[in-house]
Amino acid sequence: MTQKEEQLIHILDNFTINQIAAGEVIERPMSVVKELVDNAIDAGSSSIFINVVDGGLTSIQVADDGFGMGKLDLLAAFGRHATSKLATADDLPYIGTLGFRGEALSSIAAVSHVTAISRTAATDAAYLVEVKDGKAKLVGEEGARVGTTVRVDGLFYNVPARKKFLKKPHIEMGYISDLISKFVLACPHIAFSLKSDGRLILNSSGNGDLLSAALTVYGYNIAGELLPLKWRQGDLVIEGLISPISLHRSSRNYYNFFINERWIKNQQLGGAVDTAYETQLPGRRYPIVILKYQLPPETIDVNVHPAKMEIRFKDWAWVQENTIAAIKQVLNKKDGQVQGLETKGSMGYHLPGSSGGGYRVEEIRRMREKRAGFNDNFVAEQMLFGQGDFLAKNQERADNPEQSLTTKTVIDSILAEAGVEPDLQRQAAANLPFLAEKEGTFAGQNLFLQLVPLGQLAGTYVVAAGPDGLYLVDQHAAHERIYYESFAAEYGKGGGGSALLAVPEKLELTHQQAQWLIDNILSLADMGFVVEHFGDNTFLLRGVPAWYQKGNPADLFFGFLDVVISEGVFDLASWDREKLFLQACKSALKANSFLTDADMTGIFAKLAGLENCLTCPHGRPIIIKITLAEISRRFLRG
Amino acid sequence: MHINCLKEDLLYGIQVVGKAVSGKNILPILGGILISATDNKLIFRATDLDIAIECSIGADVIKPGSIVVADGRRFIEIVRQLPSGNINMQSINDFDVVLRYSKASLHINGLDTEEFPLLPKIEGEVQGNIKTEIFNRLIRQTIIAASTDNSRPVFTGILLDIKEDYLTMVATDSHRLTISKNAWNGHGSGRYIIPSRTMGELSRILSEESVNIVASQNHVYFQTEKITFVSRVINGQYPDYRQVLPNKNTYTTNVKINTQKFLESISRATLLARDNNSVVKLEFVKEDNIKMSASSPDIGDIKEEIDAVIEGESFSAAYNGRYLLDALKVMESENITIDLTGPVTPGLMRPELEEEDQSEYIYLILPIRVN
Repeated sequence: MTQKEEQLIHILDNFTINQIAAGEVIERPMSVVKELVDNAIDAGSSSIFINVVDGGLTSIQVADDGFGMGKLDLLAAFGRHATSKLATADDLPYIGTLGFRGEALSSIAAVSHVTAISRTAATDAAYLVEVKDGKAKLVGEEGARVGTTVRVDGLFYNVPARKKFLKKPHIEMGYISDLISKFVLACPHIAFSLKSDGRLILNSSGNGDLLSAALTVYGYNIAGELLPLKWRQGDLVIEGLISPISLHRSSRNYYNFFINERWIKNQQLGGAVDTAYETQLPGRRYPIVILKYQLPPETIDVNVHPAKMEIRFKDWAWVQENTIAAIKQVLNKKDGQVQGLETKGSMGYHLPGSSGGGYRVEEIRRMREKRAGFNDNFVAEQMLFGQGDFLAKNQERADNPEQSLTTKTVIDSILAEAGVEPDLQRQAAANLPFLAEKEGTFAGQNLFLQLVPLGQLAGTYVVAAGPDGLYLVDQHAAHERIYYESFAAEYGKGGGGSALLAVPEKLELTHQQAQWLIDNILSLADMGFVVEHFGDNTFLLRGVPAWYQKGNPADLFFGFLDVVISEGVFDLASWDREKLFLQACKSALKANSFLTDADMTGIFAKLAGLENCLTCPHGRPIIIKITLAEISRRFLRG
Repeated sequence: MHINCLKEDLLYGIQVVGKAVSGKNILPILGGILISATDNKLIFRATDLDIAIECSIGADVIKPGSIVVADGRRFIEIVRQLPSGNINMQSINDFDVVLRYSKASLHINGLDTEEFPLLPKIEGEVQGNIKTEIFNRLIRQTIIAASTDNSRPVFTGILLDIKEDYLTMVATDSHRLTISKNAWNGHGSGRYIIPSRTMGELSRILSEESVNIVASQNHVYFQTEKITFVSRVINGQYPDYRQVLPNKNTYTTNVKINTQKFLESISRATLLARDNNSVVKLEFVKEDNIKMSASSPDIGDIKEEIDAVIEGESFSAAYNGRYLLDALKVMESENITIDLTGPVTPGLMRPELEEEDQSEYIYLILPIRVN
């Protein structure tokens, strides 16, 4: 029985360790770009060029004009936990740079071929280093300008499993352009230029102005309306741009948070924004916010996850309170939107306080002119459409936030009165304990089919005998649900054709939206959206679903786009819920109308056919049950 | 102030300006009506800052002066209930006024006249004069296409496009576009967007022979002998509507049809297609007639052949029946012509006009693309 013991546990070699670590840090091409750009920013660059081929699968190149690295640093940089940003663990609480863990380059090198050229101001020549299988080798010296260029080829060449999970190149490219737009917003003082397969996708001026950065990312229509925000409270400084309450989107995709110039994802901050805008926006609509926080490094913990996109606040309550206050201060300010409500566009009567706003439009015009030189597309666009087209549009909306608000607020208040809350419905359902029995006791047979109508109470409730008790059905609520479901089914079909527009709408999209649109232009046509490519990220909306006869076609389209991109599916019926509610509510049987036995049975039969038959669309219950046990107890038969 | 006037005259005056009395209750003064007496005239004025209306009536002025009745709307209601005949109105202090009729007297509270907004000053080079009847027709023919969606204020207005001898009104909700043009006696050129609601009110108020229009950057004045109506202008750029019109050489099919018969057919079809996005299908068969059909999944379907003179290519397209009806109701001519460019491109509906007519009306309609 003497057998040589086989040693099962052994120490991994460095290369394997790096490959495993790479799994955490380098998920997809976007992560490579992120790490490299982080480094470029930490190197004090003023302009950063990113060149991506094939969505990053073939190559990614990031060139900066930062302070560069010397020969030894360059060679050491690709080792694990090689960093210049941190010397001891004691420094961790005071991290002021974007990178610090020293994992990025080694992780990237572990899953790709990396070439790096770097030159510092101290030397005349740049050093060229090649990293293969995790080992860095000096290849030569070359002439180059001060700065660092890192090129990553054949990403995941040795990790086929990972490669398999990547999406199509243009989708990966979408992630990258989305990321770069975050950087543009995070560092308006750095000029970013992003090229994909040789085509210029994004180009920021780096003039240090956040508004101009927002313009690069979101286009004129949005940027022109954003309101500046400035807030200081002790060590905390919040600056940024937020949308007025008249401008909103149907997803939180437009929430941008930056802590000390680091873009982060944080649900807590999102919640704070929601709270600040609460009751001011229609249901399920979200603002556009770009919020940049300056905080002492020791008050936050960025070392939460290797990707460094998450963050922990040491004192969340303090940050939350200030975030809400900062936003409210802007929203409540007289000379933002509120003034527009009262006096903008009103007549020049001798009443106090009639000075109009609108300075931002001017500002944008200047930027547009400046940019026109950079980008030929803008010039062409200007010639085609005549100057001031978009300005006018901005002006219009800025001039009249009141009206656009009122329609929505009216609907909202109607809904609010009726108690519509998406959660309410669920809540109401939870309050109906016999719901659970639906699958249990009544399995195989629908509850509503077992009800025998006994009569009507107060012309409002149908009284019915059913399994194990007495049931009361609210006839209005029930009928409302029936209508709602049938309207929703009609909507969902979307086969009503497309109402073409006499005056097409110009749509300015982000790169990611544009990519999605190009891929889905045909299925959009099936739904009734007729969209035409107009060059770059601009499209013309030429038709909308035929049922959409009133309202702003562009609003419908953007609402649709936001939802579909963030959630992957789009349910027309849920998008236009307000309209359905109203329609259902109007058509439904009112209280105090007399029903025959046949009517009652008819209602039950229809309810039985519905999936969602226990609450009305406003979330109120349709049916309540008084159990036999309860009745017996009342009669003291217990 | 002390005057005598007829109840009917008083009621007319305050009812006219009543359209501009603010119902918002934010600034109390805007809920009032200013009444000034001078030179045997009573002048009423009201404004909600969006529009301002001034109207004058004849009266026997014993002592000139002015007052503001505090609650304009209630005042109109009260005057409507007064017996006909002479009404004597006299201010009793700086603010308040007493109305005497038959053997009764009525005390009405007032507000400070100094606080009442003045009419905006206007320096307009663009002005002209047009018959009220024609002016009202232009409004009637265009207002149907104005948008009611407030998210794009420009589209909720009617564009007044003034070019020297011609006054053109344009409206669109981006689904259809109306252009109504007529010669007028004017000079200067400019484009002004007036809220369509305001234009609607205006056409209801105007009754005299002709109306003067003076336009400036921010306000447009509409004046008749008795009434001055000031509206603010919606700021913004109106789309270049001429660009939206298809070129003449793209017309493929020309249709001539009796307005009333077409209207009746489309009414029936639209009624049926109401639950089906009002989709009405029209098949234009050359040298034959129009075959119309519409259906509703729950109610039934309809097929009609409508006599028409059709030249050019045959084709079929679907339209929103309600939009067709809107147009047919304001054509105001026995026959209309329709120039079509294809099943997914614009069609132009026009009334058939006499040669010497100095007017033009175009209703541009887009088809519905049916899958």
